[in-house]
Amino acid sequence: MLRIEQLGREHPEAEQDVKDMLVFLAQTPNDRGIVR
Amino acid sequence: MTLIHPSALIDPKAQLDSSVQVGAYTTIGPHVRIAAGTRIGSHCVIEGHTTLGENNQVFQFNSLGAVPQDKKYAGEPTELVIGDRNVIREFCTFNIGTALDRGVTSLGSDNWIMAYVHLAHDCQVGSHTIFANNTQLAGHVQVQDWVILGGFTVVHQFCRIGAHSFTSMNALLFADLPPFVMCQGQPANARSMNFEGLKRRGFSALRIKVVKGMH
Repeated sequence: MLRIEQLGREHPEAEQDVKDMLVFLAQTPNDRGIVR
Repeated sequence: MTLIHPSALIDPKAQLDSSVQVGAYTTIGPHVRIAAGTRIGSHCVIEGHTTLGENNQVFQFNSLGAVPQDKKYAGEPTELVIGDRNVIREFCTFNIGTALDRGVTSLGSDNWIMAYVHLAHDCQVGSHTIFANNTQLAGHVQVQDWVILGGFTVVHQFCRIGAHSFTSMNALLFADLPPFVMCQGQPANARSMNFEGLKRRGFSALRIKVVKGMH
């Protein structure tokens, strides 16, 4: 997560893409998890 | 030119724009609303509290707005809401929502839904998606914009599919698929990011590099 946040800070043009990813991950319940 | 085939059964209470076309033997219920330019093929059943926006193309043999396949459903007036300019190919089944969730099953605009797709109760699908043949979504699934689901993709109930993601044919999803990710397998595993899709949608090289970095 920290690495993804860092990417957003380094590349403002892609800030929204990073935000979309972080919001999505934050909303995923732990018991379901994500496709890895 | 007659836009409504004489054999179509349209409830007098249904609200259809005068430009709506309805094919032979299609049945449309009393709580259905259909906006301008939408074409309904033959042998469709559109029922329940179902709303279709403008310029949709609904091919023959579709069932839109039937009651949910959920034992807890008790006849509540829940809805199916479909946006504009969607293409819905043959034999799709889209059910209305349930009172225990939002009460609405929704499909945005500019989606291309191929044959035999099932949208279960309370699914929320965004816009600009492509669902290939036999994609099956269980109840409460959320699909964000620009997603492409390969043929025979099956999604477990309550899962979320992130924007710009892509599934291969026969993918089986039991977990959330993050934005931009390509996945494959049963159960699905992440394989890469959807770089080709992003290029086609005009993502700059830098944005694609950042997406790659998030993998």
